[in-house]
Amino acid sequence: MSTKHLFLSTALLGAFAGSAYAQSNTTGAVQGAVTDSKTGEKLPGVTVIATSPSLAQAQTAITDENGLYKITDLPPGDYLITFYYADITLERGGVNVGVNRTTPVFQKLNQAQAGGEVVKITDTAPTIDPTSTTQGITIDKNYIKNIPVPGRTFESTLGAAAGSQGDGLGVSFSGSSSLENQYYVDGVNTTGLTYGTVGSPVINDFIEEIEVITGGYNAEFGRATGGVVNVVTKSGSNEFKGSVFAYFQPGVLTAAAETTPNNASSIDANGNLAYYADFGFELGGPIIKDKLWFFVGFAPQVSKVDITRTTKRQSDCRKLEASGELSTCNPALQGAGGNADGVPDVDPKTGFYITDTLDEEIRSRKARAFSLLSKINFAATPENQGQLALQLQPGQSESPGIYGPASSGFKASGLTSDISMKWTSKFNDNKTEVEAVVGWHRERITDDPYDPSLATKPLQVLYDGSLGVWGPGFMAETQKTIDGCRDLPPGMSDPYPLLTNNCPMDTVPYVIGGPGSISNDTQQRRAAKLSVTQRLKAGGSHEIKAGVDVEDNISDKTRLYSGGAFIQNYVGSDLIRVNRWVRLLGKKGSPADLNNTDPHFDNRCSTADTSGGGTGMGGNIEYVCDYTTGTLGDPGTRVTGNTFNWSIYLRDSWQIQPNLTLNAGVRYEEQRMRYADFLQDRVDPLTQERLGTNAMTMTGMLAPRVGLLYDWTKEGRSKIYAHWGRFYESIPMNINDRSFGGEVNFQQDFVPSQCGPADTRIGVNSRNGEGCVDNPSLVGADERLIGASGVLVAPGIKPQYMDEIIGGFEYEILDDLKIGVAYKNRRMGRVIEDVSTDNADTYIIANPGEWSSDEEEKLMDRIDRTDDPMEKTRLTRQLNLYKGIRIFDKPQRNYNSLEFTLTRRFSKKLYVQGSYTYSKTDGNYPGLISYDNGQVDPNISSQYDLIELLANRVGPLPQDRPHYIKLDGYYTFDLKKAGQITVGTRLRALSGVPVNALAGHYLYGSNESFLLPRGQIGRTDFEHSLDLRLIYARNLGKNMQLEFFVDLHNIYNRQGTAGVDDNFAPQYKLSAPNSTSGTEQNANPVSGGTYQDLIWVKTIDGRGNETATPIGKNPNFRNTTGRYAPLNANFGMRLNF
Amino acid sequence: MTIVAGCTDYDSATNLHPDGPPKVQQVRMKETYQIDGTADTSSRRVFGFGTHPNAIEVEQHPVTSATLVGNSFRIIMDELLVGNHLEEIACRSNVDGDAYSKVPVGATPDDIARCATAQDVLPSTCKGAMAVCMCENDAGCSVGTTMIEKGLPVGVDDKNQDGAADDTRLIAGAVSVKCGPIDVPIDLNMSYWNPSGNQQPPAMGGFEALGPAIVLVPQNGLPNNLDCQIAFAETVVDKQNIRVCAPASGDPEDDCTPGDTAQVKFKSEPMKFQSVSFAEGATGISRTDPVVFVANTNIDPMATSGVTITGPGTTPFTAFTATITMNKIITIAPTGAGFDPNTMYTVTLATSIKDTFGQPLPTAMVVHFTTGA
Repeated sequence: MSTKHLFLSTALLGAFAGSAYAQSNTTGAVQGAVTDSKTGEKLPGVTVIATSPSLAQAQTAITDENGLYKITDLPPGDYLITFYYADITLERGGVNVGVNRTTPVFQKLNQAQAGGEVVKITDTAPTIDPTSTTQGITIDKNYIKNIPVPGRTFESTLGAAAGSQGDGLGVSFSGSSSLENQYYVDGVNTTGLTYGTVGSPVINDFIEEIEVITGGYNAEFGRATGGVVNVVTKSGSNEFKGSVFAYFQPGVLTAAAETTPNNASSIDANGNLAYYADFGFELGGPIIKDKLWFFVGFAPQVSKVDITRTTKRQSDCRKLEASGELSTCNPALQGAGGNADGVPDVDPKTGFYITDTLDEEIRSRKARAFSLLSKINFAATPENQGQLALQLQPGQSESPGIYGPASSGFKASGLTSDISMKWTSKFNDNKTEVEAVVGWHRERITDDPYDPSLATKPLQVLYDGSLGVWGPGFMAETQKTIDGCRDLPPGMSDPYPLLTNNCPMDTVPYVIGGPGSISNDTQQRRAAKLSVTQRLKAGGSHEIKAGVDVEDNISDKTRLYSGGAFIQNYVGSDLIRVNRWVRLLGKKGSPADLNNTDPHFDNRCSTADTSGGGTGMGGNIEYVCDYTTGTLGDPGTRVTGNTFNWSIYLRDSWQIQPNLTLNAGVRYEEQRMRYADFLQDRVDPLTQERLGTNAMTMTGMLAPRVGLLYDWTKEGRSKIYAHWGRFYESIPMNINDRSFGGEVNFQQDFVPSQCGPADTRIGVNSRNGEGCVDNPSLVGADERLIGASGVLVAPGIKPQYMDEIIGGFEYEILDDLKIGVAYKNRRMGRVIEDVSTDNADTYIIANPGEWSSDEEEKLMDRIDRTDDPMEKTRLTRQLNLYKGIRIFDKPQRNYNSLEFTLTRRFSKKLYVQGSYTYSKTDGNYPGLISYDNGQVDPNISSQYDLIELLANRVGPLPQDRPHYIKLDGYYTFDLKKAGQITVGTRLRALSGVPVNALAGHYLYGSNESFLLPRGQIGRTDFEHSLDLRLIYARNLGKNMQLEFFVDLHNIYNRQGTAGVDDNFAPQYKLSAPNSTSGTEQNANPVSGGTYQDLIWVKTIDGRGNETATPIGKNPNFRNTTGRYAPLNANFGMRLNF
Repeated sequence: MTIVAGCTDYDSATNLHPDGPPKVQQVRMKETYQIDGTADTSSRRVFGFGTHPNAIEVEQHPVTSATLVGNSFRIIMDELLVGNHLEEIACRSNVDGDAYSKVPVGATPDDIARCATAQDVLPSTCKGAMAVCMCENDAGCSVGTTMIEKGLPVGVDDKNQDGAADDTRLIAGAVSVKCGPIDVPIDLNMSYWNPSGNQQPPAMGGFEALGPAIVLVPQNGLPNNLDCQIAFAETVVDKQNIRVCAPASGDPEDDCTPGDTAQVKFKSEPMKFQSVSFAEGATGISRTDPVVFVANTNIDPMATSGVTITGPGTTPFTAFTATITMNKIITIAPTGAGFDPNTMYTVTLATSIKDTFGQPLPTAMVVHFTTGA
């Protein structure tokens, strides 16, 4: 079929000729060459026009003297490319353009073709971008629509990229932690400010396309050592388009989650989704055709998770038969023919205590949120266009306490706001483009107590006791549980009268009191970007882009515990530990103390003086301090922080030949982290260091990037490439709050009798820790300041970076089907972490393992020059501290991978996207998340704090999964008038994670000490799952389609192990039944040890002293603590128009 | 296919040195030393063998006067030893004459946990080559009121039911201190093997927390004035089954022959007495007050026979009683009217006085005093 071609007016040509913008972070491009199909002659002057429903106005280019053209600034979508040459017209449809990608469209024209007819080319454009070394995946709205992704916001799709995996806080890429990613929505940085998590979770229905960059990114991108996620939301165009949608996941269609029982404790908790639902609409269209367009979307979401809380009792009614099997239960005393012997029954096969279920209770976590997106696009002229977007995400949730009274839970509310403005202008015959973006990202979070009457109560955690006491004591358990746990003499209602504690709580604590830490935080980022792109010809064609961006990040956070304290009550060990936030004034008797007029500083805080080399003989140092209250607004309860980032970059994409491209660029970044307002221009009471405005300034972040690509098919159907780049980390703002915000925690260990009369709710002779909180003049048996000596920043500290090498090829082996192989190496070059070289007295933010000799000389000069003996002493001490940094192991993380990818883009009703990644991630530095102990304190984690914590850290890192297979696809069956059925699948198969053996450290708490080298205990099982989506679609009219869909996730209900208990030795040894013998037990690592060695490890007591006592064991060690979600189904509908 | 990270270097300051024979890296012990510029003595813990980069000069040298009482030895190894040959674990009852059992090489904490279960379950869980605390008495072993037959498990002593042994004990003779001909008795309960630690002093404990280490605590102190050595039984080996040795230089970088620990040596301080009643040549001493001498070690109960007093002049003075209290204090109390007034006496503690190991006082102590009116 042919149609008469349309006349192309000179005016129209003039308007669009030479359109040549660089693709920005929200658009892509089409490029190629036009040649004569018979002679191969390059054809200049061919008019190439791109049109698409995604594009408000057609974009045009004219081929140059080499027959080359490029059309940029194309929003993602499917395009029709039309070539006009003399009176020949060729149309090539189905050209897919992705964000930040260049789609090659090489076209041959037959000049002998009869004029005046339109020739439609059915051949599809290749999917390989021959100009980019970027690794990753583009997820378009069809993928989101047809693949059963495991969530409703964009994060749920990111796992499709080869080399990606979930890490609990997000999706990590290529061996990095997820907190090393950067997230952009419509070109604006929406990365969470405190930790670097996802800041604005956009609901999938509002998304046009997601670009997931897992490596090889060019100089436009920075501040990331993980991946870059670029979300482009839908925009309005000249056609009204939209949808109404609803999505529902009922709990009744979810298989029961397998339990992960806690051995030696009497409460198990198991979460099951009760329901999740969202519904809403999205609509885009013109306000003024060709001038002004709108898009708006709104979607409320509600969810409820039922936590089934099972209480259980140990049994004493079985004996081992001669057959080796356990007998049936006979609770009569042995003398009376029964099996009761006073020792709890244990299953010899599993080692678990055999328990009776007492009762089940459901406590529910509820959440609701709203997603609102509105956007205006406008075109003052075709060369000058703008966009204004607003996204709001308010939400509330409530979480009752689980291991304790429900009242110990909390309620939270939050509001995330994003406002962005973007403007693009073209000059110089469209060879020059300027783009400006201004954005504001704001996150607000507040916490409230679950039970308002407990707002002023401290949170108290009870360890190693009995539910038989705590249950009736706090009346937070059901009557069945209370009755079942009752320890009674023989002849009464206790079925196991010889057991002295029917319901132990050895391995799980019981939480009572108020909500604990209270948030009332606001964080915001004000950002601006300006870029200029110039295309020119010199030895080929160049696309040169230069840009600058600034980010002003502000945090305003609370620092307070409800009731002014957090209490750890070690009931089984006769110890009560009270933790408070404090403000320090100075040493007792210091000038700061003597001249003080602030009445708040009426408390004392003492800590061990470890300056004597950690011998414990140094005695204590006493400071004048203020116990911060639990009332928001009181002195010391608010901390403000500020980080200022800026960067410039320059890059050139030099197409030396149409099939040979050299990408080279360089990026320069700086980051300035400032002290909290109240600390600036003040002398630190601990370090005696005068604090200025900037706490730490990262300069010299020069990040070169270079890549080379060659397309041996010369048609954009192949590329062989290599890339090298350096990437710098952007330090999240948690460090402002913790290290540069004057955070000091005062920990007091009390003998329970100091805390007032016995509280029989906790134990016959036990005390309530509130008694010690209420008396601020009490002196603890042991006291310490944590984070006490202020924080020094090592002079000459250098920024954290990673180097990356990528090499590989892609080849389109069949139409629409490409394969790729890529080798990737990522290696941390330098890391920023806090270390202590004086036994936890002073913390230094430094590059572990290195301190420059230049800085050493400078400091020595300073020491020589000063005449003040006190200053000389202070500086000499600092010199010794800094020199100690060199002893620390250099953090290392090496990621090596081979990625095999296969992509069959959607055509002939079939889409397939698959990958197999073989990788190794090892070293001693997991990244910005300490997966091992759950700590999330980027750059100031505990993992490098003390030299003894470094041992055994080298090995397979928590994100090491050697084998990872991903296969996504969908197929559409056309039922003609009856509609369409689409079947989508998502397969994941992956290696397990390394298992460790951890113990406590006397200063740092649980799971800080790697008893054995990483991964020594083995690896969790290989896991796999398959998800399925069925969609039925029926056209209701020309532009209306109704869809129903059903998702089945984990269809064979394999609830594999997601995590195991790595804690070999709990920090408090279990007490013997009916005693309080559970003493604190810590242990240092067994360097290079094996599991057998752990039999002989000796305990370190609460003061850090080695004893002759062997370390105890966690009965729950290596047991499963988390499982993958069970089989679940959800369904929904969508009306597209 | 295996991917190897190129140029990976995982040297850590906390690594041990598992290659080659296990070497004694350092030995920490207490020495008695004379305080500079005074006649007074004090004691301190030093590296008596080997050294450490962080140690200052006075903290590292061969010890020639190891403190006799209250001393303990921290023997720091450069690699892990097989703990099963150094320690044994506590059982619920006597298994072979006492209530401690050796642990088979290769046993893991899981094997211990399997033998720490409830008594009735034990036969099912605690069996096989890695079972521990098996009754070896022909007459059986009694646990509470239950009699366990020979060959069956009595169970690991695990009162808190956490699956780990509540107690361990050094195996007699595994590591010993020999002073001259004397095998110094070791307090096996206070002595231990701890595989934790490395050459980086942790936040608390300093050099006393370097590891991995064997801690030896003499039960009754050391014999005086003898050359001593620390000896390892043949069974004490590393995981390659190589015996312990100590380089002659004390530098663990140097080689040594497995089994040769002769370089780990020291000398115990000589037995000495200090007069706490008066200084040498004191005058105006009370005629009736006792004269007290304190030894630096425990002394033989027969030591009183080595005490003689003369005065005036060489006239023997016998009107006194000499008693020993607290193992190391000799109290000489005059009887009757006491010492004569204004008379100079000479007290001699002869070399026949011995410590509890039978080692004599190296040098007789002679002191003089003059009574008052």
